[in-house]
Amino acid sequence: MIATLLSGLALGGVYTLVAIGYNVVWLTTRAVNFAQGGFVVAGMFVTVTLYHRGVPVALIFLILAAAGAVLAAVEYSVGVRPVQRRGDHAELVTTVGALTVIQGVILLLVSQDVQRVKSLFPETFLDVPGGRITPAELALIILAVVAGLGAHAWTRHTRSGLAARGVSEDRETAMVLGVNTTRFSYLTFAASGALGFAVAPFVGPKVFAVVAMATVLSIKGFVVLAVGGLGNNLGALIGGLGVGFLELIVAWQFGTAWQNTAVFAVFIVVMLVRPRGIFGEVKERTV
Amino acid sequence: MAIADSPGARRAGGLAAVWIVITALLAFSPELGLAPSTSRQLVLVALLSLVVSGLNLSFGYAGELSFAQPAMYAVGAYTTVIVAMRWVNDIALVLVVAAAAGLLLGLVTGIPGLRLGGWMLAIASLYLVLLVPDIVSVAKAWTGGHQGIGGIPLPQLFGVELDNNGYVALVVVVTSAWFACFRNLVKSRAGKTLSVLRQSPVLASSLGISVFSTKLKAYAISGLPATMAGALFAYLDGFVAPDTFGVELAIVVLAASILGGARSVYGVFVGAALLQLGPMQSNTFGDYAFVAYGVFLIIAGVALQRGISGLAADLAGKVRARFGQAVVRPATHTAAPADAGRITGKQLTVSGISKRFGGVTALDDVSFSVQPGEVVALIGPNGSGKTTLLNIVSGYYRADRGTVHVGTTETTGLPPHKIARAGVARTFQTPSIPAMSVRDVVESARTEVTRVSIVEAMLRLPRHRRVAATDSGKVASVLSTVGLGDLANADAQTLPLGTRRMLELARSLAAEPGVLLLDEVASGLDDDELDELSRVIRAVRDGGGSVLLVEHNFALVRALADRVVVLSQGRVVVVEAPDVVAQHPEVLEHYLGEPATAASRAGTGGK
Repeated sequence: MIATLLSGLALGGVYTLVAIGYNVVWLTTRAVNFAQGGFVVAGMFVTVTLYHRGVPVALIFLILAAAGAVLAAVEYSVGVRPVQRRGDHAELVTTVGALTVIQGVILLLVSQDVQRVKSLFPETFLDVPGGRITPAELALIILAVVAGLGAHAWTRHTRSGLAARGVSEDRETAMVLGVNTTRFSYLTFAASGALGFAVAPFVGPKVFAVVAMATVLSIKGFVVLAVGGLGNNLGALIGGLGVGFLELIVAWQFGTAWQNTAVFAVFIVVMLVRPRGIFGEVKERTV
Repeated sequence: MAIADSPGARRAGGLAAVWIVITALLAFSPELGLAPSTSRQLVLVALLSLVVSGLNLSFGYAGELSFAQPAMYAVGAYTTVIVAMRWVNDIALVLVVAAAAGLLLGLVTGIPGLRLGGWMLAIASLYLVLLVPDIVSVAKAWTGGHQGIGGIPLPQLFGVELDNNGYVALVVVVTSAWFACFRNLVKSRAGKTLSVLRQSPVLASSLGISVFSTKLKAYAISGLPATMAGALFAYLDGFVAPDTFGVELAIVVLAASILGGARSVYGVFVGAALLQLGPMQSNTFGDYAFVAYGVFLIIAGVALQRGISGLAADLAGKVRARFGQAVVRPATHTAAPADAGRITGKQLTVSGISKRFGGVTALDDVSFSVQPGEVVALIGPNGSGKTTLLNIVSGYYRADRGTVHVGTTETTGLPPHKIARAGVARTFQTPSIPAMSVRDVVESARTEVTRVSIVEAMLRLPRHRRVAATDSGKVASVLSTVGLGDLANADAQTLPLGTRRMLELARSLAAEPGVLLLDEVASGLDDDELDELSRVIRAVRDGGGSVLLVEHNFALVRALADRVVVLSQGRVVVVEAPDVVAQHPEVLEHYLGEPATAASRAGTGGK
């Protein structure tokens, strides 16, 4: 039971890390970057390649963060910024396009096969009541909690985090108040890309590197946000851990074929009962 | 009325004839010597066209991107698997069951997805595609699981087994029939309703259009062609496997839709044919497919907003302009008779309305009424609560206390579209004019006045024709009332501000409103336009309408209003005739900002 719980939380940690990436970008651009799951999977393949070459771990993280930041900034400048103010959902199309490109490049350069990502930690098992878990899974839970609380603190207590929330409330007023929204959007995109790539060595041992995982992570990360409340990092943390836990419990009780269906059912119910998510806020409409 | 002889009817008749000839030619193409490999491509293009048309309806026309099409396609295919293999092998029955299943799935996923729209619907529908293999494997006994299932019998129609030629003919006929329905739907008033909705949900609700239920209907219907295509697809090879219905198909469908033009009917064939006969054919392309689709989606999302059909329309417009058949676009409107006809006004009663925003009291116990055949002006300095009150009356805000009645109907707390249906029409401070012709802008207000069901519009049933004729008469009459009769075909968004205000007024009148709310309708108008406006408002009042005029221009208020309600800091200062109000000491002090001795200037000054 404890083993299932921890294993589920570790899986949920993956979703939380994707969801935080979504949130950072959402706050400043009001766009959901569908490519976020692609960043994590691309990061996994880069990690595998660099492990093979014997690159030191610290350098791997640097390379991942730099690659992710550049890729996401390019995505923003080519696909998001030109359509941002148009209001016709074009970002939906262009960020799905970006996700598709990332998947296509992985298929071309690497392979269709599933690859295993070596853990950063000793590949042993820790005995817990009801089974065992890996140190990598424990690390993933800790990383998700730290990242979730850190991102939450950033939006509440730092100058730049408050500015990001200001931009999300009212872009024009924020501009008038001296926030350089364009530079800010580039920065948050770069940060989300760096985050997506850099968590790959932690995520890899848990979910395996395979192209199709990109879409799955993008979808699940977003579902977590819909449940937790879009733009809220505490929601991302609690929603992520909750969804991961639900998946493992369902898989354990009814079989793996049901776990996606169960998450979908919860997603639908939350949207019906509390469309703004658990931590979301409502606003009155104006003419 | 000589409707049958009108050029529009003749064009429609010609289109129908061409449609039938093309359908017949394609349906009998195998008999006419088309090679089996080519007729297979014809079937594949037709099936992909059906799927893409569903996306065009929900994304292009209703403005909500959904990736659900592959899931709908799967529902159709597995309907064939289950119904034909286990129950009755009749393709007509299979199509009906598949369509019903598609509608049901559309409703179940659309209700939560559309509540928030945008990203939520996109993700919910993409998730649905992800679930296909899981559900197929859970129901392995029925579906054959991941490995797929073969042995689907040849199709039968009413007991007659169809050979390959018969199957091709059936696919062509079903595709043709759906596209005729699809075309009729989007070219009817429903298409204009969707266009207004997509461009401004606020405007749509002020016209009585329920944003949610209209989008839900469009979304649910958008699943029909994909499920029918899936049902037909299962018979093509007699084999169905879940990997046909993956995320990759969703990307292909989106690419085809955007390539042909998401807001087009015939563009669907172009987009579907290009993708089916191009990338989906070659194996060498396969390796690069994802990169190519992805790059295309980014480029298309940024630059190719209207697809190939949009480029074609632009080209046709240029050709017409060059060869002298340009659309005439007069720069301004002409004066016209000031007769608004009989209007059945309703009494608007506002009693005890209070509204607070946080610690600010915007409205405090406001009461007044507007009688039929009366113009009441609502004046007050900026921040006095005029617009807040208007937004409460039309349902965009909820009052904390108090009630609003339209006639005998209480409208307090109703959503905007229900208040509009109760007879309240309004204009906006900044005119809200969607990108369409002047005639269509006015016609969009008729959606909830005379209702026509989607089926009636798709099949062009008698009621659709009757209502279309009534609408076009009413539209012509209100356009002539406001003096825009000559501009009916002009592009509404290119009109100057004053003309746009008159157009908004015409749109409000077309709704045959019980109560007309005009929000600073005179601001930005020149003297001629002001005269025109006064003339129309008087005509509405004389016809029996109830008019509530929110206005800063006191000269206009004095000339038009029967009574004036003066608001200051959220409270009613006085309700009196304009001449009395002009002399009222508190009004002079609070509102006109002048000592009582300057009373005489109030009548001629601006504010």
